[in-house]
Amino acid sequence: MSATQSDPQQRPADSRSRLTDTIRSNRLAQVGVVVVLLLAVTAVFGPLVSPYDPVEQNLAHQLEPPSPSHPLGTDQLGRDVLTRLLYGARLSLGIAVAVTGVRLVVGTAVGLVAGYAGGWVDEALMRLVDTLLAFPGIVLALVIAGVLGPSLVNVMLALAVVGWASYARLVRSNVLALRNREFVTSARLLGRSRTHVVVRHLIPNVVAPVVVLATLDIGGVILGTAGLSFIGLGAQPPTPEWGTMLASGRTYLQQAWWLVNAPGVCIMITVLGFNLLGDSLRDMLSPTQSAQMEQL
Amino acid sequence: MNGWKLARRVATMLVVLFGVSVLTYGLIFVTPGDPARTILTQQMGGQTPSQEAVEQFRVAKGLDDPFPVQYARWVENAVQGDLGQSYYSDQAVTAMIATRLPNTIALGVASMLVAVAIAVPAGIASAVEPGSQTDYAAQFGALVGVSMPNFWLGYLLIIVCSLWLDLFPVAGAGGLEYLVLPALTLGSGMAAVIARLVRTAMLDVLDDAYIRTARSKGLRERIVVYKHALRNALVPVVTIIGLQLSYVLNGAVVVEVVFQRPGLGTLLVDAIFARDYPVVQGVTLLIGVIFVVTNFAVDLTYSRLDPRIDFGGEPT
Repeated sequence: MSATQSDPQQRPADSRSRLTDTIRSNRLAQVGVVVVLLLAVTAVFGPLVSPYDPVEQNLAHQLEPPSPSHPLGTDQLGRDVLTRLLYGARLSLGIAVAVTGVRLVVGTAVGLVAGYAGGWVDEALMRLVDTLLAFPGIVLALVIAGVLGPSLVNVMLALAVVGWASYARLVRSNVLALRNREFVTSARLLGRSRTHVVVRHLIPNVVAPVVVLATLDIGGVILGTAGLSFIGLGAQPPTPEWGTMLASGRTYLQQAWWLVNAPGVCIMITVLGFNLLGDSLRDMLSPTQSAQMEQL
Repeated sequence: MNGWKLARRVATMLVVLFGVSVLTYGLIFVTPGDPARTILTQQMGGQTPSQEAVEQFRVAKGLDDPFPVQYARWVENAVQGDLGQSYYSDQAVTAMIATRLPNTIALGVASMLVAVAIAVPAGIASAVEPGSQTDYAAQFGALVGVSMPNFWLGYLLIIVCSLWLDLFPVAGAGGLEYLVLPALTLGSGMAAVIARLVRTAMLDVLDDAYIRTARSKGLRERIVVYKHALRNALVPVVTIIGLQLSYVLNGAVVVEVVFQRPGLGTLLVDAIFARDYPVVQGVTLLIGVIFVVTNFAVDLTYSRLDPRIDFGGEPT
């Protein structure tokens, strides 16, 4: 491990302290952290606090403008918009974390295999990655989800299938750079198994860039889920999903402006929070690592 | 880029195009159950089609052949400009695309103009005084821009500009007045991305030795910024704008749905819901091919403009 210690970037303990340093010194990062934490708290506890049901119809109170009892008004079926948004936060954050998690795990695994194995395995995997990246992401996800049939699960599946490729590319290029570093060669010369090298020496060194990419990616996943649901492929009414809510509000643009704007603001703030966080996390990477990130 | 590297790059592109076509054609086989049965059920409004009708449909549409045969036939025709016929209208897919494509191109070009008009001044203002209030405002604006779902921005513009102020039509396609709101919607998100690129590129250039020389010669700051720096900073920016095509195509789908514009995006979405697979495949293939070829062209231009950049294919 002596070779590792000579390079400060390679030590997980240091990147952790750099993480706290970055967040402490960067105001935008702080805003990002606060927004994301607030959202998480809202998603967990919000629905518990609300006195209303997110799906039960109350036709006596259709399309009521914002008022003290309904701070964000009611929708065309008399449901409290704020309550639905709170449940929607749970759904959006849950989906975003799940989809990003799958992308991260699959992409990292493929990238490790391709980078470490090299040869035709690498060639084949990378052409698959190129093919997936050869489509604008939302268009491909739209087609996959559409062929599978409209449902939230299918949208998640489509977004996961479409999105792992950039993780694979990032991890592979990191592995290629690491493969010939002293601490990796010496581990190999010491007769360590492949698994040992990958688990103890490669994975710890790709964690930082992968986490940064995931943070930057979450916003995109939230936009993608909401966008596909808006088009009608994702969550179906009466599910309180933000994109679906926005889509059903478009019939009432004239009478009830809050129906499209309330979910719109929620999506924007959530994505903004993750982007602020991801952007500032990127600054803590080494220059080479952030250059690799730029090329994705 | 020497000849060998260029050949390698072309070969990679051909492999990717092959992958794109297999993926596009193979997609319909992801349909849960039997595609022919699912399509017919959809066409008959949910009724179960008879076994006979399913067989007939399969034979008529060539779905009874093994996958490689179907795929080969499809590619062979596609190369000759024949993407098959819609399951619904028997209209040629290429003809359907040809009527919709101009609207999408118009939207793409208009939103690109909007994006550049916002992004270049904002990026320059940002880079000239890094760390200033202006810089922070521009950077924050850019972050808001990339975080804003364009379907929401679209409705926001419709509510304010069409319903309240009555300036533009709500939906449809036609003259320039139909293009303004969709182009603003799509362009502002792109502006955010481009503004950041302009800022980075300008900061890089302003740091260069020849700028210091220009300044020490006593040239006015305006001339240094606009004549010396901007010109060089725009080289990477112009090419990278080409890469915004992905954003245009992703965004066009949603924006066309919002404004009910007849374009490639709405054609694709309608075909998906109708399970009109020849149309879905045709549009997807077209988008994939355009995207791959543009990226290739951008790579080439980029390495030609700046020979230090090497896209030789080795680890990036």
